[in-house]
Amino acid sequence: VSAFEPIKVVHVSLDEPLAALPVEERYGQVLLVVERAGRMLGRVSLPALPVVPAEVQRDAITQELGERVWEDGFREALARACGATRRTGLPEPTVSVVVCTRDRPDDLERCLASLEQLEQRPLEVVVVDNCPSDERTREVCDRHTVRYVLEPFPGQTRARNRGIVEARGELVAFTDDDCVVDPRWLNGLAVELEDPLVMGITGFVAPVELETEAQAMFEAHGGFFWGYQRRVVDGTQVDPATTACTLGAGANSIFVRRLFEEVGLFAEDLGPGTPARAADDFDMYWRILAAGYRIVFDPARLIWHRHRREQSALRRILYEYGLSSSAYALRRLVRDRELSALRVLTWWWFTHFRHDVAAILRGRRLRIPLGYALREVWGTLMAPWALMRSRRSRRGIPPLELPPAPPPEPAPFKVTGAPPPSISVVIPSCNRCDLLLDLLRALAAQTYPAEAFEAVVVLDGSTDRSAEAVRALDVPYRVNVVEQVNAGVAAARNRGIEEAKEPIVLFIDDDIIPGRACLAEHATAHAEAGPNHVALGYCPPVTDGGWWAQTVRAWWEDHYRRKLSPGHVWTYVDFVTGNTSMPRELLRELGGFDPAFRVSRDDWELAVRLFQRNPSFGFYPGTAAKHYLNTSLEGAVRLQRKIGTLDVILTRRHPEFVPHLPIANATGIRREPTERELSGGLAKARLLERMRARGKWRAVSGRLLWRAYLRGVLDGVSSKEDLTALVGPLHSQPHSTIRVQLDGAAAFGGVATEALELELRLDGRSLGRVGNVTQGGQWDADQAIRRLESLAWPARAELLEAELNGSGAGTLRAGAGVDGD
Amino acid sequence: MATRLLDLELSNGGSLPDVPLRYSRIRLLVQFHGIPLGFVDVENGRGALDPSELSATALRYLERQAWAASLARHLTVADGQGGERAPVTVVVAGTGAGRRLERCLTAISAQRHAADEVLVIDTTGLDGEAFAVSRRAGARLVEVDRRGHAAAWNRGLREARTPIVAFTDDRCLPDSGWLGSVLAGFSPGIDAVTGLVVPAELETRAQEVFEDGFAGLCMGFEPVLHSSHTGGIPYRPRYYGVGCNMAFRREALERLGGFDPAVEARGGALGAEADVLQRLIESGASVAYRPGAIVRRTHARANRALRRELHADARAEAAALAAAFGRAEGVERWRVASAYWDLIWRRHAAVLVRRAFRRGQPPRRCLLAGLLGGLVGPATYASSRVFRSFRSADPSESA
Repeated sequence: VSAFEPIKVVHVSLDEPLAALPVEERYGQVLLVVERAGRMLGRVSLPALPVVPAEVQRDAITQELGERVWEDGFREALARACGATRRTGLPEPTVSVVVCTRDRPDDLERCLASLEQLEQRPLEVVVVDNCPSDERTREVCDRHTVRYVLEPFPGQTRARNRGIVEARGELVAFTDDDCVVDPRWLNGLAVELEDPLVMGITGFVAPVELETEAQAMFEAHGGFFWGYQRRVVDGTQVDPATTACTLGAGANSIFVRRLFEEVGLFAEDLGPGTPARAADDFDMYWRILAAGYRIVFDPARLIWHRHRREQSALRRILYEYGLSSSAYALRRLVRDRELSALRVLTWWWFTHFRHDVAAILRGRRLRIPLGYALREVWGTLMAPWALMRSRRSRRGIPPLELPPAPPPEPAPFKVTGAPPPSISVVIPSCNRCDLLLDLLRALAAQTYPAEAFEAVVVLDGSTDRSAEAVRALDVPYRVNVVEQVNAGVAAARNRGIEEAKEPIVLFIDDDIIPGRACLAEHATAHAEAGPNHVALGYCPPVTDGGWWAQTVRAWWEDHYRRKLSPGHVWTYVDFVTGNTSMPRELLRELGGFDPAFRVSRDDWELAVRLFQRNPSFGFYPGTAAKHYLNTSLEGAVRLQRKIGTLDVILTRRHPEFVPHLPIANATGIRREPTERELSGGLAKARLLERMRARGKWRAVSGRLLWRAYLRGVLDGVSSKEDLTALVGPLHSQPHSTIRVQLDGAAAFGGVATEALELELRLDGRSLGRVGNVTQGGQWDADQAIRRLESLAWPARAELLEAELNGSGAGTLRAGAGVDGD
Repeated sequence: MATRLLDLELSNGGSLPDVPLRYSRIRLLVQFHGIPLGFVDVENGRGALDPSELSATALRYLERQAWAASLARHLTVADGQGGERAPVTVVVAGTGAGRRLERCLTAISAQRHAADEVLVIDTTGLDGEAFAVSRRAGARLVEVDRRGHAAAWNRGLREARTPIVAFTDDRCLPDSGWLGSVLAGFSPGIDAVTGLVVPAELETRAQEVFEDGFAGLCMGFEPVLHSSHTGGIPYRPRYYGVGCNMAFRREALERLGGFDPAVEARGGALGAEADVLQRLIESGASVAYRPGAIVRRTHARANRALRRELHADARAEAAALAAAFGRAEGVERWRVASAYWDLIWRRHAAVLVRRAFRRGQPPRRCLLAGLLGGLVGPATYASSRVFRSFRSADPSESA
């Protein structure tokens, strides 16, 4: 057997010309880690020559990664064509880099030196010295501009928690002392955080050296490899327990600090330094996903890790990985009743071990010995014992408390340009006295001067003595309480418009609690934008942790984020009534809301008329308010049913609406939804949520809501034939098509509710179509890219031809060596 | 029914030759800016060929290769890294008629990168025209009194004065970019470069069988770097390259003692180079296979000659493996043995067994010829070694 020859690891960027690569004598192989425009493409292995010529590198890269480079280029062109340009000029968030170390001063020195090379400078670097045996770590820290923190209790998670407590940045970025960071590690974080649901960002961990056989074996055994594809993992769309194990290593993870206030600090009985050894990162990822947040895995965030050099360390690490991931799975299983965590265990026993044995039998190079594979499996069996010991070992250690972050103090209101207009806040309310009083108190705390606004409270048939309570309230601004017989929210708003005395009307529902800067932002918006402006505010729902609540929150956050994207095309979908202000005169000219829409759809109906007047629109995230929405699935079913009935009315009134409403798909109902079916479905969804079966729950609840909607539609029409007559002829209208020119830039931007079909075009030719893409929902460039990516494969040949034709038409010439003899 | 070979260059314009109807098939060697992507077969129907249609067809089959080639064009390479431009001698082993030699020499003189010297080695097979032809082409003619390529190459090696020596023979026509592409493949650590061998014609059934049933001498269209560093020493002497399209560093060959005539069998395309390349790789050097260096070879036209060629090729391969077995130690011997088993069973005997019950390609007699060659190869190699050790006592041989 030939002896192991070290492998040289080289970082190659395709953005720069490839250069000849000198290789030291001791190496037998070269591993090229290839990236392009900050995106990781893959790795290529080459035999070591004294100098590896650029051509040899190029040939190997094109052969091995040609397809991946092409896919990457296609995605890039698609993003350009769809206009999915991100916002620019966002302020970069402040980052605290936390490095936990224990008696490895040489490694730490290298790590800190690389942190000084970061292009995006962090706010601070916190080195947590975990239970040190000497002063060397402190001496290293003295040579660098870092904060040195001593943590006397052992355990890496304990040290990390200490780091979080000490950190002052908005983000906490973790790396280990045996890592070297890429200078671009912290670039572009502001773009990721545009999505307020992103709570964690992980990256690629590549080997910094493969000098010994143990290091090469570890890398060949999987290493820290989690793929080359960037992905945003949404906790509401995946199974958290299993997905948490596929999101990267804790040595390269960045978290939003306020996350820890919500889901708690790292579990101190997991992780290195405890009997449970590792998997503290899996545990944190699970918590993020289970709370319905998102994690971005971005291979462009690169960190170089020095694997352990000794065979004994490799043997131990493999054992620890088997043990710790099983400990993680057991904890999910026992503590959180996540049945899917069983799959983590079965993966180790049946998939991973089988692959190990197969590699040994096939005699693959750099396979791990059978003894190591058996140790891995043995580790999975030792997990319960280790967990117990681990918990016991934490006894007597006082837990760390995260100091609560002070609430953000809004800037005092200042008049900069034109004098801001006065505002009438119209608050329709029905039997929600407590929330209403909270809302009025929140209005009293506004930065906007109290004499510049009034509150018009329209009590829509309230019977809980709201009127008396409101009148008894002592607030600095004017309050006008109007009572009416229950007539629906649209009628209540109309009444409020009538009563409003100020030129701008701001609609705030009784379940919305505005932030302190809300009114000031609205006023400034109107002052700057001029007349005929509609200012849309930000009021994401407050969730109670239920799965439906998480889904609703994700929907709303995406909805708001879309309005912020550059080149956003405003449509009626963007118009919602909660926390929205517009000129009173505009509303009066339109005749106010249609009182037929008692619960919902009043906003869209108004928006259709509103668009005929060509107002300007603006979205103002500074107007943040909290929306205490009813986020139970039961409430959603009830609402969907009412919306179904209202859609029938909307269809009768505005037939041009039909292709964009779900009602377009409501024809051909075979089995009518019954009350029994709806209540049964609700019970089933509840049961599934208790059993923590996310995927099944998603399917059941989705179907339930659709059936509730259908029930509502049928409630609104006299018979199925009536429905067919109403929708049928409109439904057969030709689909409108959005053409995306692959070679053009930003042909399609923002929301386009009209699109029922997307067509990808290149050079005047059609490459394919994606049909039936939306029905009255939200729609943006990101979704368009996702759907159009499915065309990549069928369109390949045509794309290739166009590519080759760029330098001339493909033609024939006679074979040079064939002259007939 | 014959096959017509045509070149399809995807990047530039050109005229379209009419293919007579006696050709049932057209085989397109698809290239993109001189980088060969692969073969595509089309039926020769009535009516003219449409270049754009053929390009589209070719792209459908060779999509992956075309992407790689177009990517290679986009990837820029830093200046001054384009391989070595060392002086080079081209050694042509001549075995046939003077007219054949003349065409070969014309092709060599038409190289974009001109050779510093061209040597024609006459292995007692050339007729009277050879001298005049060589003189006209400006080549030096050297006569050897022993038959076989190995002896001719060894003589050429002794005569050559340049650091790099490229080999071909008079059955072949190198493309105009051949020598340039071969030279570009050399760099420190790479001691040998081999290239793509495609058929010059497929006029007879024997030639078609050689190409379709036995993959001819084509080693694929992807550049490969054969080396012992990635995945241990490979034992695939059939796949490193062919003697009619190869180039060496002279000092590397001299270090190994040149070509071993005991390995080669008469009438084959493969011979002593299989052994030399294997030894080169075992010594730690790398062998680059570059499909961009194209040579067009006229394969044996008669069935009998085809069988002899297949027999000789298998014999040479088996002999090279036997030699490797002699050098190997321990577990490496098992790897050599498994490579030999692959040659005997998977590539010949198993196919023969399958063909015993089924009609089709390749012909049984051809397979049998190859199988026999593989079986006798080690024995003839051993006997030839013994025989040669007696003969090497002869002082005239060692000169």
